[in-house]
Amino acid sequence: MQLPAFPVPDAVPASPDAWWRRWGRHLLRIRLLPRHRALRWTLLLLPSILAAAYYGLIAADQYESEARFVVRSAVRPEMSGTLSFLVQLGLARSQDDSFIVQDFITSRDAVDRLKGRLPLLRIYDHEGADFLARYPSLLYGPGEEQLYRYLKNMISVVHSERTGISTLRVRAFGAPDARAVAETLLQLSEELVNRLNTRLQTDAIANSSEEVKTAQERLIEAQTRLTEFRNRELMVDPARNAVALAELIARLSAELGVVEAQVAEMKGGTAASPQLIGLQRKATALEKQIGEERRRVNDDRDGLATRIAAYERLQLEREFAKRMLASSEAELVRARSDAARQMLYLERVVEPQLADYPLYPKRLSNILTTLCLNLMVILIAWLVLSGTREHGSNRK
Amino acid sequence: MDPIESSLGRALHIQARTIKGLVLRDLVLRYGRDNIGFAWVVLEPMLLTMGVMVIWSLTGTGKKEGMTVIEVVFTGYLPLTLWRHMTGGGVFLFRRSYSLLYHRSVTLFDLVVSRQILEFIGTSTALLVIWGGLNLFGLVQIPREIDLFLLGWWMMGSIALATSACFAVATELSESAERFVQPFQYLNIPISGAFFLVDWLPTWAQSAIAYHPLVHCYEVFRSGYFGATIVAHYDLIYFCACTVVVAFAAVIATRRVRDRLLLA
Repeated sequence: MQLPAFPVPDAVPASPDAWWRRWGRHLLRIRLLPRHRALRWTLLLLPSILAAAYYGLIAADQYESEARFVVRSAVRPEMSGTLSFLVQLGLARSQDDSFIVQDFITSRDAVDRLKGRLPLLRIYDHEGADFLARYPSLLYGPGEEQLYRYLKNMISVVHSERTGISTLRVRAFGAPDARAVAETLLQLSEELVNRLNTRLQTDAIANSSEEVKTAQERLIEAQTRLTEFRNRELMVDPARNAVALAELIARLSAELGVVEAQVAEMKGGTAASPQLIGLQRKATALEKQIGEERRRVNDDRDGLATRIAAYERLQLEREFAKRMLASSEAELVRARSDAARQMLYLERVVEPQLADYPLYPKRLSNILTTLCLNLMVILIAWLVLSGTREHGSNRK
Repeated sequence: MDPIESSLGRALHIQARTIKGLVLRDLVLRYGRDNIGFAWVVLEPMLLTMGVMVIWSLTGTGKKEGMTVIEVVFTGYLPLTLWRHMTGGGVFLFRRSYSLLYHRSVTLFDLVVSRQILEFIGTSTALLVIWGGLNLFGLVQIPREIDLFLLGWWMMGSIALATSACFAVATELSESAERFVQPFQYLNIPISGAFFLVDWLPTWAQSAIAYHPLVHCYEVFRSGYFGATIVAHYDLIYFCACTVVVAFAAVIATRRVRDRLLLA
């Protein structure tokens, strides 16, 4: 352990040492370990011995159930060329959504829900379980938070960046228990995904269906006003009335023309015809009638033109309302299909397995790891102490 | 008690005592008495690692999903430090300790082994201290699979031990060999896997880099640290074969050089 001491002369000139230096020397001389060799090594290797005893004799078998899943959404990624065609056929996997599920499984919420579905206390307080690995144990006492921390050790979800597949591993003291927990966790995740989908759909559609409703109301109102107009004016279509009126005026004008021509012919002819007066009267009556009809069309207050204007405005309004309804209905359809494409799917690649061999705890590996760490710590401590002792001896 | 067994036990005891004494000698020789001494073993890689981490964090090198820059540097630089310290210690190792061969119980292997034990423990301490410090600030996690983590570390130690013996012999046989050690070390760094994961490479490069034995150490070390979140490419049998070949070469060469040293 120690190199042969270099002979130091006894008569060292006494120098007043600082108190901490003196105490430091005392501390360095203290033997922390017993002198007996076997006892010393036992003490030094105590962690390894304990680990060997625990893993070799006490630790209970643990079964692992493994399941793999992918979280996908039907969103089409922006791509060009033939590749996009291939991708569009399939479903794109969405990384963020995988993390949603991963985070959920390792959350307190999942533990709470799990507790509602399965008798967790019975599963992890298994009769065969050893005192350290079972749930209410020395390390993890009762209480929600402790249970959560305990389950974090027994449940792991690992998401592989490259393949996009998430692996769920659950350990328990019985193979069926492990599978039941894994299965329930997967079911809970599926429910989560479904909840998210429902929410997505209602949110996206609520907006556009609101718009459709407004457009429908506007159309109904426009139609009502048009009907009211018709009832009030006692006419179906003022435009058609106007056409009839124009035709009437034209006919009257033509007749007037004929009559006037006859009058002119008679005046230019022989003696006064007895028919002339009648014809003249007829012409006057026709003129009056034409004037009357014209007024009916042109009158500012009550004329047909004013009414046509009002009618056309109402009709235009109804047209707009119709178009708005059509577009908002198209919007609704689009929103529905958008929501459908954004829907998430949790697909199980590997169903939870029933283990027939207890993979955990890894006894040999754990014992060797402990031994390795133990030895390294002993060596480090020895080196540090020796180095310090060397320094100490230098101060003499 | 069986006489052979007792003599074997005695031999082991003498061997252990020799190595222990030599390690202490190397400790003083390497780190001196009038300095902060052993603390340098920890501080030196710590300073280097911190520096690289700061630079990398600023330049944003090595950023990948699921792992931080600091984690990549931590898992890359510390094994590299182990490799550098252990192989670097091999250069002119015999020349420096030649006079110790005067003692009957000291052999050339003792010289190599004691020096490399010191380096290994020193760098392991650095690993523990740096990990503890970073963990305190929440920058690194507890290795997901400690067994693989340690295995990677010991793999690096074993191949570095064998290589350092080769270096010791080579520099003893010809002084110009020392000139080639530094270029070899520097050229080795970028292809040894310290600063990348094999999985990041294209497939053709992956199969090419798998012939480099050091890559396997880094991959095992990282797969112990990151667990199943990364895809590790390593082949333990190939690595063991490489180490055995290097160690065998070192043993043969050491025997050759011993004759030379004893004649000189």
